[in-house]
Amino acid sequence: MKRREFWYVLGGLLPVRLAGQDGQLTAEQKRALAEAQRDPVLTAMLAEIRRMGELRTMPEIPYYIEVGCDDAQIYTVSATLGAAFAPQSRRVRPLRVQVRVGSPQFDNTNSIFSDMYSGTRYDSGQLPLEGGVMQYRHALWLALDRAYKTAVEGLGRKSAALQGVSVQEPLPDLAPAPPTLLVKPAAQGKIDGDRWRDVVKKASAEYRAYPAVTTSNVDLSLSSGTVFFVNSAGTMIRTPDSVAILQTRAGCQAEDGMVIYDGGQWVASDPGKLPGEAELAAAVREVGERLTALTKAPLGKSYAGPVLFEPRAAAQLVGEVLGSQLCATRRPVAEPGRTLPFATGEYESRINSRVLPEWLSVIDDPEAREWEGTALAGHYEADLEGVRPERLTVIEKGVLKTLLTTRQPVRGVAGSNGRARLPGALGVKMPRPSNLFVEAAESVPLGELRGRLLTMVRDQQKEFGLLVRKMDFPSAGSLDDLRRLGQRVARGGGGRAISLPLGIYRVTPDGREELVRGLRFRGLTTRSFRDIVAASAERAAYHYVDNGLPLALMGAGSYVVGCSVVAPGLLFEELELEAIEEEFPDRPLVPPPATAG
Amino acid sequence: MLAPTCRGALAALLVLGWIATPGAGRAQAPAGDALLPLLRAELDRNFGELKKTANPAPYFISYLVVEERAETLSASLGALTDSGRSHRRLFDCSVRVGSPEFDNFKVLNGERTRFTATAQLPVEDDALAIRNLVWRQTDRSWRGAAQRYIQIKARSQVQQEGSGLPEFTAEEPVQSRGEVAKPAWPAADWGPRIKRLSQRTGGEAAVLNLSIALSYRHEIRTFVNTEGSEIRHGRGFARLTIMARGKATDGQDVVTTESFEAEDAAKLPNENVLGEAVDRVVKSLAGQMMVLPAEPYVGPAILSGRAAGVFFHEIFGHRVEGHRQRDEQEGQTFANSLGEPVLPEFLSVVFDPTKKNMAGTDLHGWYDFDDEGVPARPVTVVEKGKLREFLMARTPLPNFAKSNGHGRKQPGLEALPRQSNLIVQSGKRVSEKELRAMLIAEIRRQGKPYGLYFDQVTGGYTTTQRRGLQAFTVIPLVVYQVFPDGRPDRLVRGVDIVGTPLASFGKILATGDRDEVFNGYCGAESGSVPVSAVAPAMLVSEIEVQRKPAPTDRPPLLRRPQALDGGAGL
Repeated sequence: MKRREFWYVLGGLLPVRLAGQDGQLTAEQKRALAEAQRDPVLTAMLAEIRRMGELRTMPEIPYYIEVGCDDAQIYTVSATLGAAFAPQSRRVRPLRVQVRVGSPQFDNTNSIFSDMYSGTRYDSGQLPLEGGVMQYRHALWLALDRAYKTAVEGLGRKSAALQGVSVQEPLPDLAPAPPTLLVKPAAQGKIDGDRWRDVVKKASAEYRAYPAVTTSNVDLSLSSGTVFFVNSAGTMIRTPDSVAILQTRAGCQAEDGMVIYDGGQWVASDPGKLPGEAELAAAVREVGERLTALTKAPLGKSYAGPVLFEPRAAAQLVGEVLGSQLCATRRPVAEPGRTLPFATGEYESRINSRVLPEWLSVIDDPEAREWEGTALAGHYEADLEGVRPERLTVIEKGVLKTLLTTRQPVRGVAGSNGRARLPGALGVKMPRPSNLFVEAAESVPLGELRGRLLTMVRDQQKEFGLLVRKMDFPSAGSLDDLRRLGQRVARGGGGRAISLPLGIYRVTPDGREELVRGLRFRGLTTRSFRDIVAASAERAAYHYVDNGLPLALMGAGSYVVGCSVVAPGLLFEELELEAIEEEFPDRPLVPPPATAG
Repeated sequence: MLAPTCRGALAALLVLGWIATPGAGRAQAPAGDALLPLLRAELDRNFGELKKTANPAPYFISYLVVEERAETLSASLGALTDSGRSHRRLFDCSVRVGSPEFDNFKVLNGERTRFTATAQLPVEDDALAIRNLVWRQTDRSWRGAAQRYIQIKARSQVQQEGSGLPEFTAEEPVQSRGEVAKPAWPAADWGPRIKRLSQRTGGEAAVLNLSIALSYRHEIRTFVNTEGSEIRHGRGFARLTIMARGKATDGQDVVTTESFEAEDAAKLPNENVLGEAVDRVVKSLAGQMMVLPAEPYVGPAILSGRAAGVFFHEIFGHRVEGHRQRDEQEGQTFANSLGEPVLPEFLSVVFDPTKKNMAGTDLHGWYDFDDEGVPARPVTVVEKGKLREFLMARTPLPNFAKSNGHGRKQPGLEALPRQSNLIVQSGKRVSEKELRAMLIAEIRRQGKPYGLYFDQVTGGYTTTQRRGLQAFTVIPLVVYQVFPDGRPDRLVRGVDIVGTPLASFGKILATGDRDEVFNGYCGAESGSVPVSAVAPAMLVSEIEVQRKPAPTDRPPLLRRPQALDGGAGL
């Protein structure tokens, strides 16, 4: 009897869909279901989703419900110049709850009204930190009640906004997806705070050797926990989920007052895979040395010509530009005549067009866990909508084949490919890449690529070419810096803000290199990638944390995912850079304490 | 209270009695006082250099570090819903350029500015790390101060500013390094206790949330200035809050709450006393769900001691804050009333930040030094109805050239005159029974069908600016109608007290004979500061109540989950 009830809870769908041709569940499926029945969080989620069926007398009935919870122990610690700020340790259990009313063809999501709730909020947005099924159900009851009321109001407002407006070729609002049963043991991670505090302190003390660096930090954040997810269509997930992020940010002021920041970031699903002390110290010294060199470096001049990205910088650029543009987006419904600050993706309606040279392909592979012995940051088993992702050739021989999608239907791509990795607004998730691999069918050794840059410089009778070793991505700046960059781009005639090139060198035809500062890219978009002329045989892996913000601003955002990019060095035939022109603040009148002794 | 924020244009809501919830994390044992000499050295170095090279040069700089350790713990339905510790050091630097006669703090056109550059310092006393941050923040503060000084120098040529007073008082430097009691972490003892308390819903279906929250905060304040002051002092704040929330069928949100405060959690009441309080909160919520919303009304009422404390904090306390007397944008209710009667003759009002305990309760509003390093002292603002003094920070007023130790702020803002422990003293005290008899007589005299009794209040707000209404609101939680014909008192809901200050003072007829304490946090231009209000119950001949804003959303559509719904038994 109990067993039958359980099937009912799952809408009767799961066993039917999961069962093989003989109508039987596999032993693994049976084990997972039995395991789920013993889990108080999953049990509570199932029970409260089922109870939503009692709303059947209401005029609007939920057709889809999902409940997720990210149960995590979070530990953060920061230090500057060898002294630690107090570590923070906290257990969080934020809920992600969604109710859809209407139908998959037209529902309450993807309208500017989707998140509006006019009533009083009684749910806290979290599950209790402990307790049993009844405490969890109480929290879910109030959360689902609010989600349902929001959905009903949202559908009404969305329908009203579209009243008297005809939409060309309307897309549905929810793509179908098969149910997923994935029940793994919950995480049992223990965080050794004291050890990490020492690591961070030691690394930050490296900056003491660089008096020109006036602000510096090393930060660590560890999150270890379990993701729970249940939906009304029979998906049930419990998977361990952890992310470890180590980052450093530092800033200095050049003689003329220009403020320059630089940094580095490492991300791993397992803190044990973060760089060791020696590697970290070396990375901090690299930042300290580059900043010190930048304070004295000459100002770059506006430039149009060939630019070579070394593999690490190329991976950063691919992550920044392709990483976001490969993600499908869809304009939300607004009131007629209301302008929305919504930027259409550069790859929208470009499917089956050439977007790269025909000898380059891009693959997004969430199944990959490592590359040439390096752990990758973008591996996952199911996305935030419970969809299992697969390896996807996004750009094949230069031609865009698909985009990264969630269950929100977009033109040109059928259904979700399981890339709903960040929670978004308006009832839809944000797609994000996992592990992007740039594969070149033709390549030359990096030395030769540099030779080709010099040849192009000579052929075009230029004084020098430009070589990029490091981009500021994810950005080490502050939100203010991001805002300034956005304003500069807007003043400079639009386009999208691209992170600043930090390790950028003039290379003269005789091969000499000189670090320059104060340059930024103008009009670097996905279109620029069509003019890549060559790639190196050497490839580098770059790992970063995406939070949905422009430039993946370091340390921002409350929900983050790890991403990796593996790319060769890339030579662009022509890119434009311009000198940053603005007033710089004077240097402090009082000399820094370090030099004062 | 609606008042300009530091940016001048925006308005901030001043609310007494709301709970500030600190962040969470892990804390260490208190550090020694190696911090003070570090701050002193960096202050001297920066001040010396800036005096030599800066134009305009600073004439005064102060540093304040607030080292804060906090622990929070909350529970609902017998399970912990939040738990965390935090430890941080917040640094503030205040710079004055020009001279005490005319400096960057001069208020023109009511705009208040902020120069402090605030930053978190490491919790370890590393000289280079701390001095580096302090140096950068001092530079930022000086830049802001210099810019505004140059600006107002020009503007003051074309704008009138009537006071003609200097900007900064002269004070004696103070050296004091008092012992600060170590933090007493409550979590281990209190975790199980608040979980048990949070289960006492008594099966009341009306209660959508019952939460028991314990917050503990321990502060050490380290202050240095260029006049030679060096001060280290601190204290703890523990608070247990019981809150029940529900929604009536007409959509009205009903909240009932009680809170208890002490310097450390060990001094909070025992579990039996707290359990009774939880039962009261739950019962009162359930009771309010059953009654109809009250009608707007004007007539006689009794304010309980706690309600009277909040009433005085709002209608009176905010109007004797010194800076409002010289700001032309302010209502200046009492600016020219020194020596004049402003309250009934039987009432006196003292602000006493040196009192740590009254009526058996630890007070929230005590401190040893204010945030400008001036020693705390009691200030009799009203004596037998006559106005004697204002609350003073280091901004002079006519006839007052010195601070009286009420310059207060939250980290990140500049200090302003603020309330401490407000104590209402009465020369017309009668027993509670007598006070009630007087209320009934007053109801009859006025021919009203009933009077009101305000038992619990949660806070209030007021406007002191000229462009706003000189009005106040006090938010009651538990209100009864009192009938002259001997019928039992009737609980009502859905009303707020409204009024205008000058009209209200004259209507106080008598007070009770038992003091009650209201502890809370007061928000104003200089941020949130802990305060207390101590007062006896008061009989007023006329008070006005208006309807609360009423949401119209429905209570939850499904009933509360029951074990039999099948969930637990899977």
